[in-house]
Order: sequence, then structure tokens, then C-alpha cells
Amino acid sequence: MSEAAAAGGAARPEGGALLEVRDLSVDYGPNRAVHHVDLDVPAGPYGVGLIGESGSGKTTIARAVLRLQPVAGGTVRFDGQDVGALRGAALRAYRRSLQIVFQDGDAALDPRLRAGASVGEALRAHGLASRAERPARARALLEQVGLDPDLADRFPHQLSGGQRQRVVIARALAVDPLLVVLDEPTSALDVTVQARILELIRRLRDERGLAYLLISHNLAVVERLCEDAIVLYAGRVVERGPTHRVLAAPAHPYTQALRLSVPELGRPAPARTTVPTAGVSSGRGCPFAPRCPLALDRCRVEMPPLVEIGGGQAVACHRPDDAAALWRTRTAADASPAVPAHR
Amino acid sequence: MIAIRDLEVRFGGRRVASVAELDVARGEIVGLVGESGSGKSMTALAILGLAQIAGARVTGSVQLEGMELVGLSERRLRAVRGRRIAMIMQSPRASLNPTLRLRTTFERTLRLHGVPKREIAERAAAALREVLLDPPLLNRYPHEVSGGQAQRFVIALVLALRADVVIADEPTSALDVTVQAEVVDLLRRLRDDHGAAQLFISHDLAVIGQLADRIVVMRGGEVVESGPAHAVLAAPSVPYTQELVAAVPRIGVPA
Repeated sequence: MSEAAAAGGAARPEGGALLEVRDLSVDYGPNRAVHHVDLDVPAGPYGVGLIGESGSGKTTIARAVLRLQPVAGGTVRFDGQDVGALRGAALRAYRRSLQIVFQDGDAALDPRLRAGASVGEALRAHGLASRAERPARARALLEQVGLDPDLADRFPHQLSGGQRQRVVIARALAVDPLLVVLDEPTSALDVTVQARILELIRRLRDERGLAYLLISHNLAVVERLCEDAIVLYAGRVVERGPTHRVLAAPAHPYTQALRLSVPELGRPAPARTTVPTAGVSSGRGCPFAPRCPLALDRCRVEMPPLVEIGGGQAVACHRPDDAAALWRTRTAADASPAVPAHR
Repeated sequence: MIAIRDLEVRFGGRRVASVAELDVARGEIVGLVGESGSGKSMTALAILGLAQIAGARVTGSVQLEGMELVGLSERRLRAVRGRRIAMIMQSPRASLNPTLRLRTTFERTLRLHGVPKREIAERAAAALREVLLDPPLLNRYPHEVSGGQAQRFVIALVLALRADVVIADEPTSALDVTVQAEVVDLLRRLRDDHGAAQLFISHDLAVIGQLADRIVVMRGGEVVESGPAHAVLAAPSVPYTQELVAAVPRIGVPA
């Protein structure tokens, strides 16, 4: 049982998710960046992927969850408690239970602190180890994330990008979090390094029973690490469901475009899947309408609600049947199968 | 179009890129793949005579249709850049002058490269049509367009200049995947419809696989493998390329 729950006294309801976001909206000045988003992350080991392109609101949602961003509406509950109401010790305990790993390992580390000290600082801030214990604990954590413990004496600029990201992960794990928010954790890394970091996340999840919210624009990364996938477009959830369903049979025209845009080795590029002259959304209807090949007048004025379509999958589209038919056409027209043959 | 022989780029005593042989023919896309520090961008800069400006020592030979570019005077290189060899960068907005409307950039660039004034409007209209940009977009400043629109604008500029050779350095890496697919489509048409010779530089083997006719793999400043794209991707011969191919994230394939 986490300290957050113990401090607040309100235990998570049986079967409830570890993180429950309901009807979350976030504004930047007059502009709404996140619209009425619902999101659950069950207790670990469990991964939820938040998929979206730039400006889709995925990082804003993460910031709101971390209480780094004021919300315009809705609630965030963690382990049964209303995060917005946390104060003092309870808020500190929450910030310990929930850690974040950003895309840019360079910017996330203090350039003046050696790797071991960075990890030790997290232990100190949360009062988890005495000054004498810290160096050994830090070395052990670095070892857990696959680093040579002797790298504890190096400064960030003396480490490679992949090593720095491992230090950031070690620092996040130092405080034994229940949930980790991973914001594009591999996007800034070379592909071979990327593959090794993904393996590390998988191993840590299994070993430590971690739950995480993984933010990525990369569908293959989400497929590898997440049970559930949530697809955002312009601050709205346009589709969600079990990852394998969302990727094998994407129901929203945007998810389909995303799915077909991912270059795959051994599969020729598909015909164009979006309308590239992106018009400006009217602000009322479906935000994808200006780029959608299926858009009707109705789509431009009325936002479709998120509706269950079976198997835990839900889609916000006025034309779900036509979208399903479009997907069948798109994948059938593709000479090679949707799933690449080189297994 | 482009023939590179024994090209070496050095900073101080350190060799940062070494390419023994690399040719790009008309109507061909050669993909240059490598991770950070592999020397791929340095090779591109050396072709354009820009590595020298940055203080590198460049030896060997780069020929553009028989004209030697290594050692050419800066004045004569300037006539080659843009007009004959155009470059597309990773961050299109950063490569455009932020204080100028896109129209001004377009007109000045064409005039600078000797396009007669009366032809400019016509070429602009045709190029914009081809990259599917609305003409009123030219009234905007770089910060007022999306990354994808800015990259399409740069490609329109390349089309209007009718460059023979295009060097594209990570042209899609900063773009969202759906936009990336649109730009890849345009680069393919630049080859198929206009016969431009392209050197496409990327760390992303999957994108290169969709475009390139031939692939050159660099690591630590050296070329470690090269060959027809399908052969390099289907049966990479050196362990490093095998690792790169294996690291490409795939959907529907269990890790």
C-alpha cells in the first residue's frame, strides 16, 4: 500500500484503476488544449500508451496528471484519492509514487551533478536513505538499469544519450514509484540504443510490477510495451482499446492514417491516407475532419462522442461502419499483408 | 550526376568522414543511413563545399557531371548551390528567414539563382500546385505555417529552381508520421517526375527503405556497407547493418 493512500486514508475502490482521469480539460489562455479526456491506468505490471502527434495534448495530459499544469475541468484520482485536493505531505507522497521520464535525458539531468549524485539526490529529497547509504544505493540502482556502477562518477556530458536516459530511469525508480509517466523516452535516441531502452523498460516492468503511462507517437513502441492504447488528436480521444485491436483494426480514420504512415521494412509505402492540404478546423466538429477522406458536413459541425464498438474498443466517429470498410479496402489494396511477412 | 571518390573530411587531425566511392545517378535516390556521429551529414556538407567553411579539411574528389567541386572557389560554388544542387534540411522552419514572408523568400531565392523575373510567378504557382499548398500560404511568415507545410514549401522551392541534385538531410525526422508520409511521397515524385538525383540522409532505415534505390551505411565516419536497397535490407552483410535492420520497430511482429 502506498503512502499516498495511507496518508489520505481513502483506499482505491476494489477493481478501480491506479490512475483515473475523468473528463479532464486543460486550457492555455483562451485555447483549449485537452477536451474532456477519460483515461485509466490499472495497477502494474501494466502499460497504457498515449498516442498522438505534436500538439495532440499528450504531454499536457501528463503534466496535468503530475499537477504541473492547472486544469480547467475534470478530476485526476490516484490510488483512490483526488489529486487536485492533495496538500503538504500527501502531495509529496503522491509525487514520490508517480515519477516521470522525459524525452530529453540531457535536459533532465543537472549538468553539475555526477550520475550517482543525481540518483542520490532523489533518495535525499524523499528522505529514503541516509547520507552514508546513498552512494551504495545509487550504484545499485545504476546497475539495475544496466549501467556499469562506476559510471556513477561521471558527469552527464561524459555519458552517451542512451546512458543518460538510463540514469534518468534509475533516478525515477530510486523512490519506488507505483506509476511512471514515460514521455517519448526513446525518441531522442539512435535506433539501436532505442531498442535497448525499450527492452529495459519491459524488464523493469516485469521485475518491479510497474505501471506506466507511455507517451509516444510511435505505434510500434506502444505495441511492444502497452496493453491499452489511447489515440489523441487535437486534444481529444478519438479512439481507445486493447493495443492489439487498435493496431490490427484501427477504427478511426486518423488511427488508420497513422497506422499506414508508419514506414515498415519490406512493405511499400501506401497510397496517401490523409488529405494533405490541412484546412483549419471549424472548432466545433471533429478536429480531424479537414484531413479526413470520409468527412461529411455533419463532421465539421458536430463532435462525435466516443462509442464502444466491441472488444473494449471505442471510437469517436460519425461514420464508424464506413471507416471500417475503408480500412478493409486500404489493407486489401496493399499488395503485401498488413502484417509484414518477415517474422 | 554526382561522383564521389576518396572523399575525406578532417577536423584538426581527426577524420570525421571517409567515403571511397559513392555515385548518384539522374533519377536515382541513394539513401545514406547512419546514427549520430556516423559522418553522414558531414559527407553532405562536404559535397556542397560547406564543411570547408566550417573549418574542415576536405580531400578527394566530388564531381558534378564532370565538374570538380573540391577546391572550387567559393564564388563558383555559390553558383552550384541551390541552382544545381539543392539542400533540404531537417528543420524547415529554421532554414527559412523568419523575418520574411514565404513569398519574399521564394522570389529572392529564384532571382538570386538567375531566374528571370517574369518567370517567377508562373514557376511559383506550378510548384505550389505540385506540393499541394494553397497559394495564399505564401503571404505567411515561417512561424505561421506547420512543420509539414514549411517542408512542402522548401520542396516547392527546389522544384522551382529545377535543381539536378537534391541533398535531403533528415527531411522527415522532425515531422509527425502522417506528415512524414506526405513528404516521402513528394520526394519520390521529385525523382519519378523530374528525374532529380537525390542523396537522402537519415537515421531511419524504414523511411530510407521506402525511398532509396541504393543504400549506403555509415558508421564512425566510414562506409560499412552499400548496395541495392532491397539487398541491403533483406540480407544485410555486416553485423552493424543487421543490428540496424533488427532495431527498426515493427508492428505486428512480437519482440
